[in-house]
Amino acid sequence: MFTREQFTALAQQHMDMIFRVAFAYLKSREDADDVVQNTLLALYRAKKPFQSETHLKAWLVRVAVNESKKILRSPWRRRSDAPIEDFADTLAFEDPHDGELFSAIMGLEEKYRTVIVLYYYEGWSIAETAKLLGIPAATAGTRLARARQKLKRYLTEAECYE
Amino acid sequence: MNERISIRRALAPLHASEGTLEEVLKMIEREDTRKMTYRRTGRRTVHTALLAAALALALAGTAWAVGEYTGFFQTVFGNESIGSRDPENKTLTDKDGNVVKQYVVPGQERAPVDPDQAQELVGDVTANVGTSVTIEGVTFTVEDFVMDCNGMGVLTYTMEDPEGFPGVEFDASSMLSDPLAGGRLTGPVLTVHDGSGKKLGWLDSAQYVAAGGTDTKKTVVLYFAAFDSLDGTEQLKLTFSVATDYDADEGELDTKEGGILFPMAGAVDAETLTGPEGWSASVSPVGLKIASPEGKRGGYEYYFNAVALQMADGTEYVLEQEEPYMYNVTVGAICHDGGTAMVFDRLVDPAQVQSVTAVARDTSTDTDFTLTFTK
Repeated sequence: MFTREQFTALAQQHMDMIFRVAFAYLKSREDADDVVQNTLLALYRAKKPFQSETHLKAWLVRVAVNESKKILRSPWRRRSDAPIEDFADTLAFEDPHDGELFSAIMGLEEKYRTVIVLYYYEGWSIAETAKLLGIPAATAGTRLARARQKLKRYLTEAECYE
Repeated sequence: MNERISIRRALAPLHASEGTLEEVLKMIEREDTRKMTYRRTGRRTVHTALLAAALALALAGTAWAVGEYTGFFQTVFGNESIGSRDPENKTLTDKDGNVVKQYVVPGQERAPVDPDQAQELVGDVTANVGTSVTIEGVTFTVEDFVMDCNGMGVLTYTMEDPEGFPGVEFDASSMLSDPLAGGRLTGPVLTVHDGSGKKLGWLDSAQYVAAGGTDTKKTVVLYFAAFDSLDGTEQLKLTFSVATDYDADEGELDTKEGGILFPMAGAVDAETLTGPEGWSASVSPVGLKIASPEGKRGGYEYYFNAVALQMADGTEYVLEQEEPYMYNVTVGAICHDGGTAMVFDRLVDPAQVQSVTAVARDTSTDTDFTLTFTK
């Protein structure tokens, strides 16, 4: 079990990761913040030892995925009516092209967005990504390949920017 | 630039909102505070039991007519089954002892109820359900409920487990069920259904465990607010779940569910008060709903501070105030029509409400302005 201080430090360290995973599912800041809250509360209440940093991160992702799915199943969940481009305008990108790529990623289907976030951003392997999402590794690999294909134009433009 | 770097740069600006962690820490503090309150109310329970016994003796010797729902009204609107608590100043420090934040866990001030007045105001639309479901040996029974025309209300249910409630800590306002200690109660969900039973959505709710009860039976008060307006033809469903297995490594809980569907019995009316520039406030005996002129158009959302009802006798019911920080509502919900619903922790006679004041915060501009609603 964590002390309050340990919990606060862990929460500060991992809350953005939880938010990104949830946002990939829900595309709503409000819903993703709800997932962050619920996941952190679950962590505080879990009262369990974690074998390693990786074990903790994997546990948090699993809980965040479950919480996101729970919200997705709710027929009256808060949906953002605003286009993702409007939300993207509120984010501070280093480069305008980063914003375009962000919008393109968020334009993908949810099953592609989640593998993109876990594999590319969080750095999990395909096998680990599959385990976190509860899908076969082959499926995760296929989704990743298709997502990459759909983003090809934007990723190529990114190369050109360099 | 490789793909991973491009994607990392594109997703890097995604951060959890400011205040999210603070909100979590407040929720944890509230839980901890409730744990402490439980220890205090252990003594208060005896006091309450003595009062109840004295009242029963007094009633036995009189010819007073005790209404059918007197016990229900005293439990949900009064200050005996669910007590008041004081606000608490808290300081949060990091691992080095530096102060991260100082904040206040709000208190709540419950008020006594006159059962006769309650009978007069809401007796006609209060209903008994009396239906039970047993899940894994735990029997849940939905008892009485009342709601208003804005979809706000309160119900009571009991839960009974012949083996007691291992791993569950009860206090005067909540229960903490620890699955690692064998706690099996995972909290019910209140949903609204059409006449055929098809689910339309869920309602926001807050639970308070009434003081008293026994080791094997507890009464729970559930206040609720609907996110959408209801026309009275719908049904409510309270779905209970009991944990059957907990995988601590995966953080997953397996549960078995069972629900009780019951029709609405009618809704108590509300009085409308008018504010400036199209604002309005709707006050019923159980809740307040503030509607903005924009409704949901444009995605406007407002938060309200310093909300108070000014009564004809000169008193004031403060729903939320600072210094000391009191939060005298049970549920606060932003509805799908853009309105804000606040469920009272006591009974209010709308005829006695002269005005309503509130400080509104426009979340799109972060500006505050004061609203006054009058009849």
